[in-house]
This record gives sequence, C-alpha cells and structure tokens, in this order.
Amino acid sequence: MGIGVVVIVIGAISLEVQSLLFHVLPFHDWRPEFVLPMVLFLGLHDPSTGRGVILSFLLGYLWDMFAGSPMGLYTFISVTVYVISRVVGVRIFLRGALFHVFLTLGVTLVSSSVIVLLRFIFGQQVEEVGLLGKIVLPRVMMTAAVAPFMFKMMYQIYLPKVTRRREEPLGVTPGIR
Amino acid sequence: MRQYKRYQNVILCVALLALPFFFLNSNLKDPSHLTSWDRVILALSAPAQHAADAMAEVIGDLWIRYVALVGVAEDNERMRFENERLKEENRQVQLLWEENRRLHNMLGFKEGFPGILVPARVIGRDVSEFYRVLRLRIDEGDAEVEKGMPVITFDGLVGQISRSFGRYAEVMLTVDTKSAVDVAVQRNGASGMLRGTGEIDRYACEIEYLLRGDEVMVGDLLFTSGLAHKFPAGILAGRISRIERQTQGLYQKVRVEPAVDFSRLREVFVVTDFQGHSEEQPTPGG
Repeated sequence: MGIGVVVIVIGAISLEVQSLLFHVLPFHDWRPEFVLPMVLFLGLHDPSTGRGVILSFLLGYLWDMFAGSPMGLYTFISVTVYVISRVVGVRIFLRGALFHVFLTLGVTLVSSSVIVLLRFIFGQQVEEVGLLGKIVLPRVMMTAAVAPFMFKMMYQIYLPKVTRRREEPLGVTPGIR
Repeated sequence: MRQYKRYQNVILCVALLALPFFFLNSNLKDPSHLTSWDRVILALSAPAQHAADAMAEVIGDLWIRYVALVGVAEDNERMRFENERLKEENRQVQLLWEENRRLHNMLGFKEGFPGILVPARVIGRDVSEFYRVLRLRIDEGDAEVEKGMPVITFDGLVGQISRSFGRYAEVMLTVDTKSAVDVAVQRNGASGMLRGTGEIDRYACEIEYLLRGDEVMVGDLLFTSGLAHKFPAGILAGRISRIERQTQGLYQKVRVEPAVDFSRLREVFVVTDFQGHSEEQPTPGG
C-alpha cells in the first residue's frame, strides 16, 4: 500500500508541475504529460495487474482533477493506456531509453486518438485534422522526450519495492492476453 | 486458482474502464437529456470532484502565494482590489449620469404633453407566457390611478393600468395577449388594432384588422389613433417589422416591434387625463 501512496504523491506533484508549466511556458502546446509514462511503466513493469490498474485509475482521476476536463476523460485514457501497455509488455521485451521514447510516442498518439474518438462518440465538436495535428504532435513529442526520465525515476523508486515483495520475473506476469 | 486470478484481473480492468466511461457519458450529456441514472452518477461524482478540486486549488494556491510569487501575489491582490473599487465608482457615476439624462427627458416630455401625467417608477416585472405585467410605484401620493389609464414614456406607449392598489399599480404591457390598442400607420393613416403576441422570448405585437388593400411597409411607424378615446392620439406604439401578405381574406398579417424597450424601463408616466378622453365611449382598445 505504501508504494501506491508514493506513486499517487509523485503523480500529484508531476501534475502540479505540469499545470505550472502550462502557466509559465509561453508555448502551451509544448507541454509534456508526466503521468502517461508513469502509467506506461506500471503496465510494463508492475507484476500485479490489480494494483497496476487501480493505480492507473487513481492517477487518471488525479489527472482529471488538474486538467479541468470532463470528469472521467483522463481516467478512461489512463486505464486504456495501462491495458495497452500490459498487452504490449507481455509480448514485447525491450529495454533502453530509445524503446521508452518510441513506446511513449505510440501510446500518446493512441491516447490522443482515443480522446478524439470519445469526443465523437459523445457528440462533441471534433476539430479539423490539421488543428488536431497542431495540438497533438507537440504534446506527443514532449511526452516522449520526458519518458526516459520518468521511467528512470520509477525504476529507482517503484521497482525495488515491488520486486522485493514478489520474486516474479518482469514482463511475464499473467495479465490480459 | 490461477484461472480465477486471471479472470479477476480482466474483470477489474473492464470495470475500471467502464466506470470513467459512464462518468464521462453523464458529464458530456446535454443537461436536458440526462436520465435518472446520469443524475445518480453526477450526484455521486460531484462531492468527490469538489473535494479533489479544492485540494488541487489549495496546493496550487500555496505554490503561487508562498513559494513562487510571494511579493507579486500581494501586489496583485492590492491592485486588483483598487481596480475593483475604481470600477465600482465608475459604475455609480455612469448610473447617475444615465438617471439624470432620463429624468431630464421625462421632465421635458411631461411639460409638453397635452394632458395630466403622473410619474411612476418600475419596481418589478412579471414575465410569463400568458401575462406581461409591470409593477409600478406612483411617485405622487395623492394621484388617483385607475384601471385602464394609459401608461407611456417619452419613447412611446407602454400599456395600460390593469390593477391599482394605493400607491402601487400593475401595467398590462402592449405585448400582452389581452392588450388591444387602436393604432394608425403614420405614412397613410391605415388603421388596425395592435395586439400583443405574448411570446416568452421576445416582446412583439401584431396588427389585427388591417385591410389587405392597405399599403404598409416594413419600418412604417404606428401611432395610437385615439379612436376609442381610451388612449391619447399620437403616441408612438411601434414600428412594422414584418408583413405577411395574405392571398385570401380581408386582412393582412403584420408584425410590430414595440416602440419601448420594456426590459430597460425604469420610469414611466400614467396618463390620468387627456384631451378627448371619455369614459362613455366604447372601448375596443381596452
């Protein structure tokens, strides 16, 4: 339970920094999403699916609070990203910063597409493709750029605690297959 | 056991995906289309959302006030207060200026009017689909205000007194469906009866009994004709805004925009007597 609280606190601090960046940076679109790599890490490396998905849910809920978006949007995105990364994690086994960057790039793109899809499903106005690209691409690139740092932090803080408890190899935990 | 554990994780994932989906569905729905289920979800999510919002606000506030911008935040607060004070002063001056202008106009109007005018202030409005009513407080305590007396401003006709009680009275506006006023088109003298449409979202009237052969145009001004001796002649009642030419029948359908903006009325006059006023005359205008 202790490590779960630590993850939530890190998530809250990351979101606070994220919202501060939004106010401070003159170019708002070029703002990374810190929570997304954290959720990705949980999907790839947490041996317990139950704990991972609950933490992803709570991180997404926090994200919703800070983002001021319709309640449930980022919670849904967060759990979706977790499920996707869980599926990816049991099939692909790669290590290194480059892998983190590319995986985050792909997952952020998918999450942006899910947001557009949800807006379409719920009858909201969907922006033009050009405008979407202008909004999404900077965010995707910045998130991918910070992913190695977030992964490194999670490796150091999270992984020792959870692997000490359960001696299961990484990436082969039974999950959604 | 392992099989059970696997399904347990799948169920947990599906449940935690479904939950925000339902929340999102309820949050994004048009409020007029919310079902009971949506209301339950919103009622459940609102307190948690409020608490978390407050927490986020406190954290953000702490950061901004005490970590990042201690001096700037204080200066900002002081200047914002000063700005609000000056804005309020400015608003007061503008209100006084506006009131002064209105009263000045009313004074000139009262002196030039061929009749007795009693000033009154608007103290309330009732807006419903069936009634369009203003409530007045009569400024001259000894004036006798009775049912049927016309109510006007220097912009034009407002309506007629529908009820009076002491220093207070109610006015039935010309846009009320029960209101009927004899009017004439200024340009050619064509006459008809101005009746309110009673629409909830706008103030509008129509002219009834305007003959199909009478040539009227959009923009033509309508004045009270004084035919029924209920309203003084020559008070501006409105302006023709739309004409629907009928191919059959005796009359045409004409839409009228009232001369007075009822939503902005502050002071009015009750016409207690005027030239040509007679109680014995038939009263189609009332």
